[in-house]
Order: sequence, then structure tokens, then C-alpha cells
Amino acid sequence: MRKKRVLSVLMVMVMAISMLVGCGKSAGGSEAGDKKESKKDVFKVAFLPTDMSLTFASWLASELQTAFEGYDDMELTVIDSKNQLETQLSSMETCVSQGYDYIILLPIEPAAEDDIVQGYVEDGTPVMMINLDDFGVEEASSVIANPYDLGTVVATHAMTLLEEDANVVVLLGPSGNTDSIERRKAYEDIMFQKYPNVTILDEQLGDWEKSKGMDLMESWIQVHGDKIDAVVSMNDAMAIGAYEAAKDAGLADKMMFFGVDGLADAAVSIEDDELTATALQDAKVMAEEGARVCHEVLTGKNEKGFEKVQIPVTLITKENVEEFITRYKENGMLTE
Amino acid sequence: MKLKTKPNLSKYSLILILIGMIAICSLLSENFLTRANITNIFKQVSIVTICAFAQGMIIISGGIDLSIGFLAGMSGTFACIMYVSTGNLLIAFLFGLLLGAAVGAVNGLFVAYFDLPPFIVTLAMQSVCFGIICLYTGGQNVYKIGGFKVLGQSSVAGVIPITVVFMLVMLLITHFVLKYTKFGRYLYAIGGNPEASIAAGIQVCKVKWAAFIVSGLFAAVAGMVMMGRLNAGIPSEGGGFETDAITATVIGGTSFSGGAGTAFGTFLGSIIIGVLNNIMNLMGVDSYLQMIIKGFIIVLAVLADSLSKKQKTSVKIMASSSDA
Repeated sequence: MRKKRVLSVLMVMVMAISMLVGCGKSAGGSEAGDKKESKKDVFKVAFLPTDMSLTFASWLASELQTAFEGYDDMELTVIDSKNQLETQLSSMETCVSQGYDYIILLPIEPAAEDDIVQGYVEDGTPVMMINLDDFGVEEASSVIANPYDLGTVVATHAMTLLEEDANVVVLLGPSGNTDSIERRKAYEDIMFQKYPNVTILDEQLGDWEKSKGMDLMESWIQVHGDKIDAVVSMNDAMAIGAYEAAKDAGLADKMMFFGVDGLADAAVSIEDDELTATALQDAKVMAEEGARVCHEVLTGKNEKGFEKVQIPVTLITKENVEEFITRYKENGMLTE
Repeated sequence: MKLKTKPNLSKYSLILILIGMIAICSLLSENFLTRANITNIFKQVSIVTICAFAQGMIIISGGIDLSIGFLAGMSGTFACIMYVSTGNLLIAFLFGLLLGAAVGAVNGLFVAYFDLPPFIVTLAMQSVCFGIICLYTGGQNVYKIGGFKVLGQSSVAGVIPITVVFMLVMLLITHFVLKYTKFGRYLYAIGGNPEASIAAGIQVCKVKWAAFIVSGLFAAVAGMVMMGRLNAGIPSEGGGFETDAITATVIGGTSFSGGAGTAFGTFLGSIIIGVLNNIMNLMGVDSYLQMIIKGFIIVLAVLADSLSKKQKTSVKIMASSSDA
């Protein structure tokens, strides 16, 4: 009896809370999937991000939302894949069977998804790979900032700052991650090949995590101390973690820290003279281009049915960081 | 009615394993046995160790708590947000603790009073915790946390890092609770033989519920210390701590089926993993190789421990506890 009562009270609470949360959401108007009453002449577009808990994916989703508001004949639904390839594939399947007119895919593993995307495209559902693409499907649209280019701009900038015989430590993303591999390749081609005297003291997987970057740097400082001239990291979080460790050891001023991603954390860090430089894949530009390509394909303006777009990447340093701080404050990624 | 175990021997065997490792490591790298490096090891294990104390208590009582990592991430980040908006560290800290206790209470409610398997309840709670914080922040991390970082980046007397102080305080609390309180003894009793403890008049439900609340509190402390150390509120950083915590407790001699284990054992288990990670990084061992070596050494450590226990003590009575 008592259990039942407790349970029913609980359920009422859960319902009340979910109603509150639901209302809050639609009041904010930022979430997708709320627009249930779809008009017949509106194209249904699905966006399948990798993981909405990742800063970049959620930023891209909200920029896409904004971009789609500019078109009254398209509506966007966001379906999270929670970083599971399996989930993303079954969501794609669901979208096709539910008659979505267009799928925008922020792929988890592009190479693994190519064949399936190929199949859908051939069966008549156009697909766009956004942000990441291995160009495995000829007829799929693609709007990306090349991860290799991201590595290139930071590496090129780093070369102007570092001595030709600098000692660096390298922080990598998770094993097998395309972004990490491509960015690392750019460093190899741009910096390590051309400056053969640059010594890589050590190179480890930091799994994109700030705490791992911190732990690794603490150990490296034990072994190499102030011999380290620069930390070359494949993302910003690990680079900032390494900075925290160096600061703690009193060595931060003697070192440079290079990241990639250029999101709010990095902008703040550069402004505070911590991180030296980073590169940004601009989700706003990406979303605008994505919406344009999507619209042109759906309305038949694009006769081929696909378009491949590469958006430029931006180097962020102390010189131009102010502009990004302002932007991130405007779009709510930075609060103050 | 003395089910309390005397795990002294297993404790010594762990110390021997650790001393052996330290001896080998100091031969392998001249940077190993320096004060700064030893401090690093303690710093790096401190947060996981706090989680492991919580996990240890739950495992001793025959349960498991998989929500620890994400709960730490959630309460730590919310505490950051609270600090940023109020500027009061005490309020932020208490708020974090409150969240931890609340989530723990929900876990405990379902496990103890609705008799659901703790594995499933806490697994579900992982996703709820992460969802709540991401919903609130919109997937963004919290930066510029200012004074909040004293919880993770300051030091006491200029020598001992605050994270280590937190770990040691939690160690003493856990030790005290397990050894000198009724609640602690009940945890062993419930984990060792649930039927007998009901027969003995222990309010099993209440004790289990309380255990999850304590676990939530510990996770919240770990989370806040972690965000202080990271100098940012990053909800995802807590993920995976629950399994690291399980590893530490089990290496530390806690019986996975409940009823046995100590705070110091867990502490040593965590240090052993920390030393292992540290020496491999000092030597620049390849990342992939590190994973393999770590796996093998963990199995070896547990094996050595269990062999020594079998030799030296008559094994404790372990009633086949029906996994609630």
C-alpha cells in the first residue's frame, strides 16, 4: 500500500516536472522537434548530430535551427545519436521510412556510413554530410571544414613562433578518430617534415579530455621539465589542461600551447594569454551553407542534386580573439 | 553476530605489492621517486579515489553504483554555476552536496524500497544526470569559474595539494564510518548475508538507502574538486569514473559480492593504479601498449592479493547473496 502511494506521488512529480521542462523548452524556442503540425507543402528535413552533449554538435544544431528559420518551406527536426553509430544508423532508417525529404548527417564514422548513405541517395532521399566527410559517396552533398585545414592553419602559425629545433609534446584525440588523425597529419606535413630538428618528446592519447591533458602534462614536466617549448594538441580542451598543469609547475610562461576547435573555452583562454592559438570550424557559416544547399536541392534549383562545399577555417590568436568573444557572448555560448 | 572481517593480511599483501612496484619504478625512471612526482601521483588519483570510497561502501553492502561518474560531473558543474552566480563558495559547495544527496536518495529509494537491481537503477541515473546538466547548460561547458578553483588548485601549507587533502579527509571519514559506526557494521552485515541481517533486526532498506545517499555525497565532493582542478565546469569529464572506482575497490580487496573490504584497501588499490599510469607516462610507453599492460597488471594484482588471502586466512563466510 505504502509503496503504491509513494510510487504514485513520484509519478505525479515526474509528470509535473516533465511538463514544466517541456513548457520551458517551447518558451525558449530553441529546441527542435516541437513543431508537430507540419503543413503539407513544407519539406521535412532531419538533422542527425553525433552527440548533442558535445559543444560543437549542439552549437551546429542551434545554428542550423536559426538558418532554417530563414526558409518558410523547410522545417528541421534534430534527432540525437548520443555518440552511438548504431543509434545514428537506425535514426537514419527511421527518417527514410517516415518520409523525410532530406537528411543532414553529422556523421560519427563517415567511412562506416558511406554504403548506407549511398543506398538512401539511390532510393531517392538526398543526404548531406556536414562537418565531416570522407567523400565516399559521390552523390551526397557535403559541407565541411576540412580537419586537415584546421591542423594546417595552426601548424603554419606555430612555425612562425617556434624555433627550428623546438621540443614539443603531442596530445592526440581518441584512437581512430578522424579529426585527430587528419589534424595530426597536417602537423606532420606542415611542421614536422619541414622542421626536421623539431623533437617530439612524447605523444599520447588524451581522448579529447582536459583532465587527461593535465595528467599527461604533469608527468611530462617531471621527465622533461622546462625542455618543453610547446604543447601541440589536437583539440583545445587537452591543450588548456596542459596549460593548467604547466601553470601549476610555474612553467607556463616559457611554453606555447596550440589547440584546435576555437570554441568558447579556447577564446577565453587565448584572451587570458593561456592558449597561444587555435583554429575554428565556424558552425554558423557551416549551417548557413548547409541550409542553402539543402534548399537548392529540395526546390530543384540544384539540378545535380548535390553540392560539395568547403568552408574556410579561421585561425584565432590574441589579435582577433576579441571578435570571437563578442560572438560567443551574443549566441549564448559565453555567459557573463 | 560479528560478521565484521579482519582484512589486515590482505592489507599487508597490497602494501607489499605497492612497495614492490615502487622499487621497480624507481629503477625504471630516475624521475619517479621525486617529491614533485609523488605529489603528482596523489593529485592524479585523488578524485577517482574519492569516488572509489563511495563505490567501496556500496559494494560492501552488496550493491553497485554506476551513477557516480556522471553524478560527479553534474553536481560539480551545477556547483560551478551556483558559484558563478552567487560568488559564495560555501553556498556553492553545499548546493553541490545537496544535489549529490538528492540523486543518491532517488537511487536508494528505487534500490532499497522498490527492490530494483542497483546496476539498472544507477545505470539509468547516469543518463538522467548527464541529461539534466546538458539540458540546463545546452551542452556548453562553464568557464571563468574564478574562485571556485581553490577547491582543486590550491594547496595547504603550500605543500599538500587541496585535492589530496580532500582525498585524505574522505579516507578518514570512510574508515571511521566503516569501522566505528553501527551504519558501517550494518553495511558489512547486509552485504555478507542479507537474510541473516533481516533476521537480526537490521532495517535493511533504511541502511541501503542511506548508503546511496552517502555515495551521492561523496560523488558530489569528487565532482566539485574535479571542476576546481580543471578550472571549468565540464559535465562529461566525470564519465568513466565509476568503472575506475570499481577497479580501485576490487584491487583494494573489496569482495565484489559484498561483505568485505576496507577504506585503506581501496586507497591502496587506487594508488597502485596511479603508480602504474604514472610510470608508463614517465617512460613514454605507447598509448595502446599502456592499455594492454594496465589490464594485465590489474588482473595480476587481484590474483596476487586473492592468493595471499587464501594462503593466510581461512576464507570468510560469504553467503551467496542474492543480488538484490
